[in-house]
Amino acid sequence: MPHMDHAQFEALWQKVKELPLVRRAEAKPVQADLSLSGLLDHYMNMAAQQQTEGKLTQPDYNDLQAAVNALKVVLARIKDSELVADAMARNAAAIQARLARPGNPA
Amino acid sequence: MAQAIQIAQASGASATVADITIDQIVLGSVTIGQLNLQGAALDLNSASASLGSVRIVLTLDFQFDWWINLGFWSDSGNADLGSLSFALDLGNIAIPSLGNIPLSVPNIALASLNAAFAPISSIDLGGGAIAGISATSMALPKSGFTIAGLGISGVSIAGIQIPEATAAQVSFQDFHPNASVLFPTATLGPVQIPSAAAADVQTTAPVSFNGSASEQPLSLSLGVLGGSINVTPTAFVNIGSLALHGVALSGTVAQAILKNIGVPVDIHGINLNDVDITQVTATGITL
Repeated sequence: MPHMDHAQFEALWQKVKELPLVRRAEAKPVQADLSLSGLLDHYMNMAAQQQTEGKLTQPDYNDLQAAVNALKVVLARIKDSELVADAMARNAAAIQARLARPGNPA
Repeated sequence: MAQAIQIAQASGASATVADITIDQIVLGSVTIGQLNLQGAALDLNSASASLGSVRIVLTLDFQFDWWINLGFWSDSGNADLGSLSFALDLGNIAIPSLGNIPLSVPNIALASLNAAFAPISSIDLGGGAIAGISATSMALPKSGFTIAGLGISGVSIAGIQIPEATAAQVSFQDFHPNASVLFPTATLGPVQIPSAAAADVQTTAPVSFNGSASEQPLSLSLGVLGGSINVTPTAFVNIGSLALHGVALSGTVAQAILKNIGVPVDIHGINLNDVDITQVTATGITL
């Protein structure tokens, strides 16, 4: 942390002497595909790793792969990613409305 | 009839002196090429202190570390949550009693110092050897001699060699005293610095400094997800004036090394007792 001289301190003091100075967060949104299709992709990656390590037999892995592929055909048809994204947006709006109520400490 | 011989100039091959006394040796301004203080330990004692116009800006920086673990998928990251800075005006602060402030300095080197030594009195060098002697206004022999039945005036002799003599004024090229000259108060061992009081210490300009505390985490785990909020407090401090009252300083120095000491010397009142000069060669002799 660099040393702050008297002039720099005076500049900072003028900024904060009346009201606290707040520096806003600069967090970037976490990008994650939370649709069922996306979750199934993660699940199959895990299953492949387990099969490689011998914890999952090849026939069981093949049956799982076939079932997931069949399900993903349906999910693609109903566009489950858009369904999930729409649900997340509505939930976010509801959460913001709840947090914005008078008397809510948040 | 006792008759003394006057000699304009004479020289001798060598001489011995039974005892040498010096009334006073005056040392000039001493120059010290380097003073090296090793193992200096100082105690700064101050009875009280007063701080004027103390202001603090306290800043809290927030950082959020998060994680999620669903078994088949996991992720983690961190986010800057911003910061909050606020002012604290503490005004004037009086500190009624301060403890000792120990200062440990392993090595201090000071260059080009000047010092003054007191005159050295009553020196006895205990004899010595002299070479390359010249003398003027000699009287030979040292107790005179007697010439019977002969009156001589206006006689000049070009040169003569005499086994021993006395002289009114003697100068010598080399002088090597048997004893050494000791400088007064030449202490190189542990030095105790006595406690010394000083005037009040007053800053002439505002003092600014800052420091940060270690990061303080507030952790939360909800099984499949969790995280921690890390808060780092930083204080920016400005002191308009700082005064120390009743300051006293004391300490010790383990060893002091003086290097390249130069001392101009004036020697007064040299007495050479029982001077024996051998093989005197004299010129310009007048009876």
